[in-house]
Amino acid sequence: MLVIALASGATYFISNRDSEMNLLEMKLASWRARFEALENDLVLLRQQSLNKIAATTNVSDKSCEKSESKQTTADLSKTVKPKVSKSMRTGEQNSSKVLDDKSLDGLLSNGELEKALDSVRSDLDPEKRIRLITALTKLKESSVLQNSKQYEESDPEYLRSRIDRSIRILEVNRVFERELGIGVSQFINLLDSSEVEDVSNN
Amino acid sequence: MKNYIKFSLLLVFLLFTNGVNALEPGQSPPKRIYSIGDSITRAFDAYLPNDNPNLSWINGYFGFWQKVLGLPNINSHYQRIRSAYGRWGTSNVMNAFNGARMSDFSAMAANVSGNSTYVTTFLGANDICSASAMGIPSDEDFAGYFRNGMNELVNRLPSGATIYVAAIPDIEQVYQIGLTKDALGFVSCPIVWAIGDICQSMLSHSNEDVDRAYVTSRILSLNDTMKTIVANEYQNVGLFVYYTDVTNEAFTASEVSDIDCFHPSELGQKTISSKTWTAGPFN
Repeated sequence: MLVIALASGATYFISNRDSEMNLLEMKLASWRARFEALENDLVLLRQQSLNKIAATTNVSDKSCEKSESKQTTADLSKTVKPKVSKSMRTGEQNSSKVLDDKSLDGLLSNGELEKALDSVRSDLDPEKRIRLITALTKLKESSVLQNSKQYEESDPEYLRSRIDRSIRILEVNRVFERELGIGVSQFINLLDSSEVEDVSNN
Repeated sequence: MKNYIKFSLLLVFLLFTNGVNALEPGQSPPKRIYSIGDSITRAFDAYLPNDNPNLSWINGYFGFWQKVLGLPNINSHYQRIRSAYGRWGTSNVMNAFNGARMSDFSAMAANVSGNSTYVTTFLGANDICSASAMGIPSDEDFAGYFRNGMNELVNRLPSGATIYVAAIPDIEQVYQIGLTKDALGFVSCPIVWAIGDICQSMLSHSNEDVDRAYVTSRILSLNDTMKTIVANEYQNVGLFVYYTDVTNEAFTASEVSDIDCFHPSELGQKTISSKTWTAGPFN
């Protein structure tokens, strides 16, 4: 009897949840449509940005000027809180299935990534912004390339590829320290600050 | 309707079981994590230079920005817990700082939240990695620091909580792996260690084999100290206290950071997570 009672209660609960699920599915469909439209726009913007980079920007050490207003990580985290919205994050988690590589590339070159940069530092000039986005693109390409390799501890070429990736990561980090005053890991940590509650005095 | 009935029966079944990962009677689900540790727990230099909390063996996560930027996913204890026990009611607190020693354990334990249900402690590497072997604490001093920290946890944690103590890694392997990387012409780890003043008690260029063997013997002794204390003094305290020495097992060149030739890389963190979870109480 107890089992039947519990099963009945669960059935009632589930049927009421059905309407909520339908509403959620409608919202998800709306988000998917929105992201697909955004994806098309971002692909166009990405191409424009890449054209501009090729024409005007040199990301080597010699051409980049050191940032005059260098701030510490502590100063940045105190003065500007990350404004990556919950709705964006929630939307991304719910619609992760539609975030294929093409969509992610689109986000990386513009759009949400620019918003993320703005949330950490709002006074970036366009060329700095492009250098930072280029650096992050380099980080992603290095990471994806390495992750695609078969793990082969005994293969010196595999170990060498890991070293090469680390060298590229260090270059990306130098760009961030020069342009933003903080390393790339500190930048990402500011975006993700709610994932881990750090109570240390590190 | 048939699906509803099936789902209802499944729900009833789950109500009367403990779920996928069975707990001991009276043991709380490990949903509220509090990690105590040093730069290993902070995943220092694991992938990007500096801290990589998303790659911590215990607190790590794989969220939106990690996916967008193609960063690694190490499947930490936090991720495994959310997968096994659900996301509702979880918390992910880290109290680890670079350079932390066992003498810092009691202060770090004193900050534990009173509703934490899963506390990990991974300390001791910085006690070994002093400027010289003479700086390594005695077994008695180390035991005292360890007990102080454990007593703080016992006094503050709710009944049913779990404490998981991890052994000090085998740092002599870092030396051997560094030589391997150096021989392959990839990176000169001995130079990196010297410039960074990294763990000179073990990694100093002036050390002989006998010096490194002595430091290794101290690692074994301090690990044995923790293991004995956990087994003899903290098994009937209303909590579930475990010790693991899997963190002292062999590791590979890929599992050591290419940035500093010392800390675990992202693969190292992944291995630590996997091994400690497999050997731990919730597997």
